[in-house]
Amino acid sequence: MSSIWTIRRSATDTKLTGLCGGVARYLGVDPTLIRVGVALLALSGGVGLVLYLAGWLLIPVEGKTGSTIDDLLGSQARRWSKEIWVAIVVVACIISFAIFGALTPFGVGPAIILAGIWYFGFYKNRRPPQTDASPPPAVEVPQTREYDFITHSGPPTPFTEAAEAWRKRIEDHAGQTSWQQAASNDGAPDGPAVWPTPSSGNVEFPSSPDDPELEQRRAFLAEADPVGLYPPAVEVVQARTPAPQRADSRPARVLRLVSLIVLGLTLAALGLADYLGAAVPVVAYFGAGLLVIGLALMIAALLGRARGLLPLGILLLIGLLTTSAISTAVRYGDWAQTQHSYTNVAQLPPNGDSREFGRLTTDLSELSLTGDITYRAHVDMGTLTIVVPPEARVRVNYTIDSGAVEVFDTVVAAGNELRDAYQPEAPTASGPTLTLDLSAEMGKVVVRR
Amino acid sequence: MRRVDVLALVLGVVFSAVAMLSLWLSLFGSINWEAVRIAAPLGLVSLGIVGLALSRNRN
Repeated sequence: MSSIWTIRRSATDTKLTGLCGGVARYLGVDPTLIRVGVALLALSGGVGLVLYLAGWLLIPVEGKTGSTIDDLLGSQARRWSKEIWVAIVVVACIISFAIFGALTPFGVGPAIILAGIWYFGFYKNRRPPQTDASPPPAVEVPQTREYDFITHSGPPTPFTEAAEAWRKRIEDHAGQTSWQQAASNDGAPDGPAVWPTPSSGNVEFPSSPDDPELEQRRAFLAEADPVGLYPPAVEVVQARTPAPQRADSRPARVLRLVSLIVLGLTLAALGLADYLGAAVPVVAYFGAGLLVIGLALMIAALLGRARGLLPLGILLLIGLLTTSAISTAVRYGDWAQTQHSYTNVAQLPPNGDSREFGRLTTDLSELSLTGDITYRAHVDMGTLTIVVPPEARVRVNYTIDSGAVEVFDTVVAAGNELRDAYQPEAPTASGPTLTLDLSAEMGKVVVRR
Repeated sequence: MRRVDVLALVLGVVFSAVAMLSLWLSLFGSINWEAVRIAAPLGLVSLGIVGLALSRNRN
């Protein structure tokens, strides 16, 4: 465990992906602490969520060699070095913090506190790491062992004769079998060492065919393991612990199928409503999908949870939070707004105005019209608002990939691939016409007086 | 009796609450954030207590 790359997700201590369980085992702490830490980091600009997702994608589960990203991308992911993945995760953390840092309540505080606790409470007090290059400390294993035998000085008795024969056998065994060879059976990391059964050896025993007791002792000692002290040697195979696969119950599978069908129907219904002009925001798609999965999970709490529902819910939650944050920033953020104001035709930019992201507002209410003119404006994603002179005759040519057009408080069109022209009723019978060529890839075009 | 999957229950409630909040906000446009500031912590604490109670070891 000298390298952080040796971390594996736990296959047994899992709540979502086993990441916290694996990290806790690596650090030797309670998994709950890791889970609380991830939750706190998630409140710190979403960094915890990014790190958790990265861990889930990049760290293999124990018993497996490939990570989730390998399963998703195949051999292509293996070509990328670890440094590239680390750089991607760091950039993702920075982006997440840039987007959600202002929205999350605690800012960078939890991240700093957790980093301090980790450094001062764990990392600084850790044991000196063992480098991979240095061999593990050698264990002194005696090749032979010295035994202190008690020598009986008196006349021999049956017991002392048996003890003497046994002593010779032990010495013979110690000379023949090295302890290191015996220790090689210690292949199983947690299993007991298996020692070889000693051979019967050359037992010197006084020969006395008339003594049945002596014959019995001789036969007893001639056996290699007369009383079964040594278990039979078995070949120890280091079996990999397979990752336990939880089998989904039938109700859980049915629930998953029904949930996915309902999810698909819900999204299709929203898309149809959007197509028919209801102007459904992107947030609503994620919200409706998340609601379906949330309700399915509540039912799954009773029927049994099928794999896939929880990750899908998490992905929808991330999408919902992201789109909500973007729409909120576009709506209220001053940094995402651009405002222009033109009072005469000469000020109008020949190529029009454009903005990639956010709100673009052009005030033409004070524009003096001496003849027909055309003004162009474009936003990639956001809201385009044009304020026209009160008495002007207006023609709106709009090109919108996805969004809506609102002219004088009337929704002219909404949906996808909107390309048309609209000329509202003019306030005056004659006069110059202000033609607006307005386009947006994704967003809303508003024309008002 | 089958044990309740506490994780699925808790996350299902959280997902549903967040989804309903976002749907209401995107479709109707206004939310009483003062009420949310009170209800959200209370709800989360209650959910945590329910989760702890349901996941305690009954052996």
